[in-house]
Amino acid sequence: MEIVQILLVAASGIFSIRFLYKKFLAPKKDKDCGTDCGCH
Amino acid sequence: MITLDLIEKNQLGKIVAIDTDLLPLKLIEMGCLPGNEVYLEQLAPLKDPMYLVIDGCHLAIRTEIAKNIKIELI
Amino acid sequence: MSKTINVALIGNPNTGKTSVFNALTGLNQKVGNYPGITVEKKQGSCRLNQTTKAHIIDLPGTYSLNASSMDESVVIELLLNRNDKDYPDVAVVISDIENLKRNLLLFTQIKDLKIPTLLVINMSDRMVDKGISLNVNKLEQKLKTKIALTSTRENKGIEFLKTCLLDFRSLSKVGCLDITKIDEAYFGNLQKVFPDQSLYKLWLVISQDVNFAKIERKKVQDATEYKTQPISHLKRLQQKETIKRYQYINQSLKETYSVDQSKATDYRSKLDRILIHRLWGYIIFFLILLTIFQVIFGWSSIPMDFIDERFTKLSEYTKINLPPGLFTNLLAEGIISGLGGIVIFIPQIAFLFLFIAVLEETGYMSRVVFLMDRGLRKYGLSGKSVIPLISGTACAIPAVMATRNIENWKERLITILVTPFTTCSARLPVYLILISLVIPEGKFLGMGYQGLTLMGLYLLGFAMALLSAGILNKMLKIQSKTYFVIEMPNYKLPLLKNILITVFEKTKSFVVEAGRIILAISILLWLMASFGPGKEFNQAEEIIMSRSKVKSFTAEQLENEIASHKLEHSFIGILGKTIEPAIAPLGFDWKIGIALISSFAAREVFVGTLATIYSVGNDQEETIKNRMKAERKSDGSLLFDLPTGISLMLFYAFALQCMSTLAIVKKETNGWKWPMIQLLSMTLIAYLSALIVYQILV
Repeated sequence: MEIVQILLVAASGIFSIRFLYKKFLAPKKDKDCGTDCGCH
Repeated sequence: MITLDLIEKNQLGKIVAIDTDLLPLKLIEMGCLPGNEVYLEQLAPLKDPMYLVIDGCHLAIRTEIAKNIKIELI
Repeated sequence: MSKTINVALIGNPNTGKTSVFNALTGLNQKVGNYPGITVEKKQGSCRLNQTTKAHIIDLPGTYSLNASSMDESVVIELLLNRNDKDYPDVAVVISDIENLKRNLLLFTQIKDLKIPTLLVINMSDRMVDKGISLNVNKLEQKLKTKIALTSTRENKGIEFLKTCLLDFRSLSKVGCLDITKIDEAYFGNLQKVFPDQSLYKLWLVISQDVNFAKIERKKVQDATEYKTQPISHLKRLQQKETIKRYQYINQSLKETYSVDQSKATDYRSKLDRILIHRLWGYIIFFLILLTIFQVIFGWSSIPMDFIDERFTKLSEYTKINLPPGLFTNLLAEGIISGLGGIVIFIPQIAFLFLFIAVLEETGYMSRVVFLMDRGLRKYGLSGKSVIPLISGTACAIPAVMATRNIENWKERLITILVTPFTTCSARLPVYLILISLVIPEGKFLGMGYQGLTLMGLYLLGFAMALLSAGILNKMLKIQSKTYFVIEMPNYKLPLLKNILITVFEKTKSFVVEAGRIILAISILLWLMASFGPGKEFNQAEEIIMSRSKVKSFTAEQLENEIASHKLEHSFIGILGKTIEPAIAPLGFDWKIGIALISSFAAREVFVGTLATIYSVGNDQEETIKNRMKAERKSDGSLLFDLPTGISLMLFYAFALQCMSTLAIVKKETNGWKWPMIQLLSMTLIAYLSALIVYQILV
């Protein structure tokens, strides 16, 4: 029982890190900006 | 013939000429074309922007844009 | 076998396009990821009959295919790209009966793309009021299309629209305008160079300054003879095209559409006389804002307390009924407390979305743009900046995207940079809990102190946005033409169904988005608070027991002492302690420091973080608020007193603690330069103002 609980905790920790990494840090593909953005 | 920024409240005019280079295309597409009627509905404080009815279309533009539109009062 | 057809809804703004979308799809919608107004395309599905489903794409409102702003270019990008998975089998152009003429301009353009096109004439319930008569059959013949006359208000015509969609293959693909008539020499030449291309599509690619279909554009530019055409010449051709289109439209409407002015009632002018009056207009706008804040605060406390209590009970229940162990603790102390920190704010956030939806639906928002344009121009903003600034009270991300309809780049950039100062809904939880802790109840002129403080914080956000816009306006040297055109749509009674769907969808996506982040951060925080390095953490019991002063402690006091010693030496405690010297002058202790660190990613996790930190190793089940109330400084005085509370609120008011905002600003300004400037300067402003205020108050 103890071991199941520890495994569950470890799994949720890993999932959280993975989620936050994907959400904020992983490189995302950006779409092109439009005409009037001053970057052309 | 006057420019549109000089129109007064509740006056009706007819667009005579527009300066295409200085007007946004969007305004032209909303009906700001020679021959169409224009009516001043309301002015914001300091007379800017202007609330106009052009060819049945209710819209607001800034005075500096209105300077590029020539109208005839009717 | 069920098959799916792609349907694109296209139309001018304010034609009730979203109502048609809602009527077709109901709750089968997939809105963008962020709450607030939708600028990207929305998608939904609708069953047409036993065997056919429609995949419906609601495109941003646009006046024409000639994009003058970024949100309009989304439409063209889709319609010109046959390979897009959403490329429509059938385009539905939504028009409204009163502005049919102007709406038809877009219709003729879409039809010239040779996509099967169906015309919806919406708001048919207004025909009688406005004295309008329409010969549908004849107009169908003239425009070579099928027309569905609908009224989303009275729920009429939607079934007919569905049968028309099923029958989309029978729609004529004949265009409206022979484009070579505009300039025979120019277009004849163009056709010669690209004999196998559709001339109108080519023309759109040439005449737009939009980034769509890069390859196609390059191909056109490589044919050198067209590169040399000056913009003014292209624009003259566009104008000529517009005139030709209106000639065609006038011709079609001449015998089919008439308005009897004597029967028309006009309440738009009457309402406008009051609502945009040079004095009353502003007073009314201010009163509306005041009401909104009073309601958000006044109506919130009952559901808030109720939910807070439920979550506390749930946490308690979990601990008692699940087998004891590490995961049960994580569930009770980390996850449930963390989630409680967001769920209790659902009522207020829903109210906020409700008000914004009503302001938009009624057509009042355009009046605010009109009222504010002159005043905002002084600060380098446009009247249209009002929409991002107001919808920024929901969330800065859609607000930054909503700047896309500002035509002038300098005004748009300044709006993007200052929008994060407006009080977004993620700040609301922080403010609400702090206000209820440090601001006394009691009334002033019928308004509660707490409600007034909240309004003050919103006004402070707007004031700071204006102030920094003014400074930016002086500093930035960008030459940009001013193109300000805004439609003043007719006033509409908001449709209850529309409002409810909007509020539901947006609240849902806020809670789901924020909830997932909070869940993940709560888990990590709990882990970091439950483990620690070295013997200070792992042998906390012995260390505390060996101290002489604990001899007189009760069992409960002893347990608390051990728990707090453990927390202080856990990983998170060490982190908090490290930054404590930097934030102590602001009146924050290391626990608040932890909340500051965790809310860097998203500020809404503040309350959840504190809830998690305060409940780790703590067996007394208490509500979040009571736990915060019980926190003491080392000298025994309350931690959340007035100076610390105000200082913390100011910090949250000004700091840019939102990774998603940074990401969207990077996307919209095309680089890291502006988001980094924004992040550094906002953090500096936040730190300094919290520092000054705390040092004065304490």
